[in-house]
Amino acid sequence: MAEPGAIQVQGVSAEEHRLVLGLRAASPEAVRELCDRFGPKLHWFAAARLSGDAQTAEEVMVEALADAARNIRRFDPRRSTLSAWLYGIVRRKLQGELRKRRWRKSVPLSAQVPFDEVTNTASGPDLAEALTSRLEAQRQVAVVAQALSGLEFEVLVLSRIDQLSAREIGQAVGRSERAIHSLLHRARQKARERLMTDEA
Amino acid sequence: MKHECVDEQFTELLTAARPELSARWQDRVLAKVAAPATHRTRRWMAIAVGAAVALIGLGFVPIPTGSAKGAFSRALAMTNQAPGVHVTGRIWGPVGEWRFEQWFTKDGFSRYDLYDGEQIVWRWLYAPGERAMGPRVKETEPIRRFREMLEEGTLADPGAVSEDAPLIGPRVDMWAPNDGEDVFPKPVMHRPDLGEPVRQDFWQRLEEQKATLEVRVEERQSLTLWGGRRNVADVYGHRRPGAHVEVLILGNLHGPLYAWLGPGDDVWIHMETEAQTGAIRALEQYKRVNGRWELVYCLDSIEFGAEMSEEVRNPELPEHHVRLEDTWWRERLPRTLAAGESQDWRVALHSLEVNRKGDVFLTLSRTPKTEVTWDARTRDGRLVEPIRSISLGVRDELGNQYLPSHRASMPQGLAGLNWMGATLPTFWGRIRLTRGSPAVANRLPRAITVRVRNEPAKSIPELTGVRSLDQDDFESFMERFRNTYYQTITLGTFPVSEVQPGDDLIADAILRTER
Repeated sequence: MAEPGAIQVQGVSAEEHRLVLGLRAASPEAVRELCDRFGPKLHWFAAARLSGDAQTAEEVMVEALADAARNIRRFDPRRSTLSAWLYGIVRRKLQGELRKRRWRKSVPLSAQVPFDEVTNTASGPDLAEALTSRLEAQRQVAVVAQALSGLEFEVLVLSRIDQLSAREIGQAVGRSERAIHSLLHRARQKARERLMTDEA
Repeated sequence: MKHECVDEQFTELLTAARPELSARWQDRVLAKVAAPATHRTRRWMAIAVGAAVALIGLGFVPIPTGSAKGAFSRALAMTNQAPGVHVTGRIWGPVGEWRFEQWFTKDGFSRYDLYDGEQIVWRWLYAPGERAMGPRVKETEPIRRFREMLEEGTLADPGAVSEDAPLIGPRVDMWAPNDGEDVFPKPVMHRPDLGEPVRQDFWQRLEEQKATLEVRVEERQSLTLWGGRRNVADVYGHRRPGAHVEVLILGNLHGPLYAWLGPGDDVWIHMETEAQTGAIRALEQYKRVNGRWELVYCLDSIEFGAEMSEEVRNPELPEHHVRLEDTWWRERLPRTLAAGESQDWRVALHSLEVNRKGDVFLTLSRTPKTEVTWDARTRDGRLVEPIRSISLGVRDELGNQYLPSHRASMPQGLAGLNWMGATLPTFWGRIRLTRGSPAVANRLPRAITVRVRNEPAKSIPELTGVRSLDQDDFESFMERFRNTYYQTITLGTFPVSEVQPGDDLIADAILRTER
């Protein structure tokens, strides 16, 4: 039986339902669970969108999760899944960040890797290789990002890192499911062409 | 590559590029959630309302109060009648922001100072009552830069003519004596053929612009709580392709702005004037770049009837600056060594000098016999800059060809023979030519033959009857073009009786008056 005040919506898992209720009750455990369940992938999405800028991506993700926890009453499970709602918040924060970024000029972020981050995962002879492969991957992601519109890139990334359904992606970016299918198709085509050109 | 492969490859890339999270990031989320909530929405609304009230109160947001028909014309008339104007402002171009300060008086005095940061980089000063053939004073820092400009020429605009433009030949650097450096009109003109300086209006009349600009003027009255009632004129101009360029001084007091506006460019001039007097109080000029209006020129202050002090008229030289006077024209234009004419042109050779290294220095003038228009189309049919080209064929008695000194190493094929926006009926040109072939180095020429090759006064389509340059037609067009396009005038063969002692006679003519 559902707890008092809960909204029963078809398709929302009991686990997610419990988490939302915990957040509504301002439970620190619920916030921690929210972080554990969604934080890493939100961060991954933000980092991809910010051309590998891990620090800013983390700031965006932390802000988004805090906002989500504070404003959980605004979450309407009838309109979106919790995951799509969170991605929507991250996306809005990213747009603000990208707007600010247009005015800054520096080394492309896709050509930067925080040194301490690499030394955490590699050392000695592996360090150079780790650094190089990470930079190369960032570069290629940035190459794809350049070939796609912002929305196409977001849709493609969301479809890959969290295996969100087209419906969920649509909820996150405010588009219809049909539009997402079309965007995904276009994004894949452009990405394919770009990657093939890059390989050539 | 199928979609599944793209997905797979992209996921691999994303995974490889996936960054690590820092330690204890969850604690930061918890801390933010635990922090006292701020009523952001209400706070931002309060800030927004406060800002809006402040902006209206301070006069930044004008309230439209009606039409102001004729405001633009009144502003132009008032400016032209003013005994003197002093303005300061800024210009933006590819190399960044520059500051300028200008003075004009009704008696023909004009001064223009250009600053890069705090350093003055150029100063033009025109004094009335002198039969000057160039700026009376030209200062620059460092002097090396000026010499480089002399040697390289300042009018070259390689982007103006495409590689396909069928113009071949050495380029002549023409330096009109009205300002010693270029052929663009300035508010005050010194015309040697007219004797005394002729004052031109500060502003070109709209009627004069209509041949080249499509102009739309919107005028309205607006009220700001702080600034009071003002008239606003927004002038939108679209430069027609192939049109002359001089019109682009429309709406500003600053000459060089024209250079940044090419065929097809859009310009928007925003002007605010006093409702009572018509005096301009604010002026901004924008250029459309990638669909957005980009500020390229603005006045920070404008003062009518400003007193021109002695310091303004005869400024002290800043430290490390050099005073220059260009006497080249004054000494050479009154003479004519030879003259000739073709169907459309009259050409005169005013001087032919040889320096101690064997370089040839020429001074020429060219006048069209009829009122003409120019345009040209490239191979793909695009319009390029209006062209007034001239090429020189200069050889010595041994057949050595002479080419512009800074391009002497290049054989031929100098596209870019165009002169943009000339309004004067006569061009004056001076050029240094260096022997193209090194085979007979160290031997000074004994006689020089000068031929001038001109473009016709008509446009290419008018001349050839070919209006569409399809790929198939191109070769036949070129054949007709080569045969009919140029009008060559042979000025004659001139013995070299005297060799000048200097290396760069043009630079020396300016630098020798250094004080």
